[in-house]
Amino acid sequence: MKTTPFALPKWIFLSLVMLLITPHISFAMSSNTKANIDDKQVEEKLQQYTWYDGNQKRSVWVNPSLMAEFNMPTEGTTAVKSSSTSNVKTQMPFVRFIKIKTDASTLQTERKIQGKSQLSPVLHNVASTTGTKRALPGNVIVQMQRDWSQEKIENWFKKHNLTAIKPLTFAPNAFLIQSKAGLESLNLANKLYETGDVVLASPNWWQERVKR
Amino acid sequence: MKQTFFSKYLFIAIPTLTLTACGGGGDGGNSSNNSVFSEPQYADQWHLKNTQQIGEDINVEPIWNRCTDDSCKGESVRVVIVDGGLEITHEDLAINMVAGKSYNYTNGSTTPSLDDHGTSVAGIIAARDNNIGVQGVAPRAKIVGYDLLNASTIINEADAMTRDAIQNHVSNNSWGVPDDTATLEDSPAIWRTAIDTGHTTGRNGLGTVYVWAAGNGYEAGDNSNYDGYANYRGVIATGAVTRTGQRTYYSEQGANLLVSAPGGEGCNTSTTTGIVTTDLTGSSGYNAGTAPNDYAASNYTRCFDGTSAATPVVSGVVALMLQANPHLGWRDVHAILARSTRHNDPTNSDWQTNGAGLTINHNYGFGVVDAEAAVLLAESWINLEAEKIYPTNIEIVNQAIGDNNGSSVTSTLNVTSSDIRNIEFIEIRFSAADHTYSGDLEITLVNQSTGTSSRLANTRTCSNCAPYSNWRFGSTRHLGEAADGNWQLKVEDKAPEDTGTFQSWQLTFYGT
Repeated sequence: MKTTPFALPKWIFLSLVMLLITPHISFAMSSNTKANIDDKQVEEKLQQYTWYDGNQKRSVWVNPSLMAEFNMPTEGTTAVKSSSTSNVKTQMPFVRFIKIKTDASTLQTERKIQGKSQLSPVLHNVASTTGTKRALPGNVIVQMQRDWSQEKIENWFKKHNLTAIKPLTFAPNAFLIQSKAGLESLNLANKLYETGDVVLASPNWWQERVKR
Repeated sequence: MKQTFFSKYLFIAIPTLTLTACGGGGDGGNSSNNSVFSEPQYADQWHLKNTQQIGEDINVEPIWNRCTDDSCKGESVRVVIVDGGLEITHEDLAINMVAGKSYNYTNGSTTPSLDDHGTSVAGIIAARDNNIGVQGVAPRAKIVGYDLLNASTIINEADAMTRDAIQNHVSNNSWGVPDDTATLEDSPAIWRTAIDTGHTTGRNGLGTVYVWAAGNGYEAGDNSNYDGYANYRGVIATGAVTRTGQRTYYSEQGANLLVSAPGGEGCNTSTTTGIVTTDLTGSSGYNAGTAPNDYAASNYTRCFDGTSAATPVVSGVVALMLQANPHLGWRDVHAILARSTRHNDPTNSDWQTNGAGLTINHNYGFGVVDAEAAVLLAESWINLEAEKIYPTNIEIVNQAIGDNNGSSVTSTLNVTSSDIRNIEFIEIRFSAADHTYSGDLEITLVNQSTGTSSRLANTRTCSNCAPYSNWRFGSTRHLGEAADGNWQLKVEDKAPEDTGTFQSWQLTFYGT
């Protein structure tokens, strides 16, 4: 009988080889099935939040491993405008992503949020960290009913302790409301929408977009 | 831009390409001498004039040749390039830039970021006819750049659609949601509101014309109708074709496509297959001047491609149309483009004639833009009447969809008294929110009066399928048909394991 390396009979050797490689073959064959693609969703139990996009209630899920840091001015300041010696090539990026290595609250206390740097969790439209990213640089968009007067709107802002930064020209009776970055802006937007008084209340999301 | 030419094509060493005839800087183009052939790289700009595949271009030369005083090349039209930025001092763009009107979303200045992608897009639209480099479709159009993509918040997106709307006649948008997931990604409600605002206030009420890249995700199973920006009725969703007039390998299909245009494919070393356009000055950008498959003149590239490239071709054609007839409304522009296209790829099996006698294709929309036909039609066009909008009631279905068993669930809406005899666009709202894998579903709308069908969604693998929770599809395919009649929505689950229910749907017709 012809023997194989290690002096094993051929049939035993081949059996052992098949036992060793079969699991890998199965994995390779199934790697493109939707079952495997969904494994990541199953494995990741991500924290879910909801928000209102107009009258559509949408869900988002927090990425536990990333934070977003925004370099944008507090509205009304010029904190991030280029200095006279800088040029557009060296301007700081609007957003960058930080892997969370320490407790998020610890990380946040290390940053001085004074209109120079704002932190937000990174979220996704689907319950997976491979989905399109979004984050919360701060501030909330509200659109009031068309027939509300300026006085009525201002009174409503006072009632809800809101600071209107500016009116928005791309929608009627729409305003930018001041809010800190992160989930605070999401929660404020939801609270305002749930009053039933507004047409729209949305955090000013940053969203991942691509060139085509 | 598709970053694939090195992975898709063998790297073949050839003699370095050089500029052919350089006019030493040109004269700024102030004189007109019908110098369409004087741009050094013009011979490679097959999308303007294809000398190898005769007829497979946008037929723009007859328009340029009509005027001896450069009055037909877009000089009264302003195009905003919403992108990652652009080089406003580029030698072939600077003279067409409107000083002080671009915008930087990161620092609030009027100098947008330097960006290769935006610079290449701008060149396709409006590179000057000045004996330097290349020529744009509308070589005298005015241009401004907004570098939205460096700070893509929803406020900035909405602002970019409406900033200077009175002066921005055309808005070019060669960007969108990520293309590699084949999942549903909607646009923010505030963006759609901004588009609507641009339509009512832009161009003093005639409406800014928004041109949008259909998407590059065909190979990932993506469809332009899964993109809530590209499938919105207010934009011209644009697909891409090769220099032989067929769909590029990346260009997404979609019932929402209106037209297609040359978008090119990669960087073949012997034949120019990409779109030739401007690049960042010097060694920056796509072309450092040293690659054997690109020009030694590094301010230009022959390798730009994508629906990013097709979209500015259409923007340039729209600029020529508005130059010829500045009284067109945004809906008129859509209608003219659809009716003046060239019927490309004639043997493609997806061509269908709709009830109004217009030919339509999920790969191409109504076909490839034809600049001469579009401008001539624009000149004689009588503007459309005021738009009517007719939403049907929400049809509750609540039927389980058979799991990959050959059966389908259909629902029929009988539309009466809509008063819309000429459809311009249909929005379809669809819900099957309990289906655990939305990618299983093939969804088709059929006008039973005419037989015209719109494939809204294909069965596909999505890396993160989002549910159909009142999802908004769009279709241009029923242009010119009447809304009254029976409309059927057919839903079929064509993949095993996941199940769900066809819950509800609704149609909204736009037209006259």
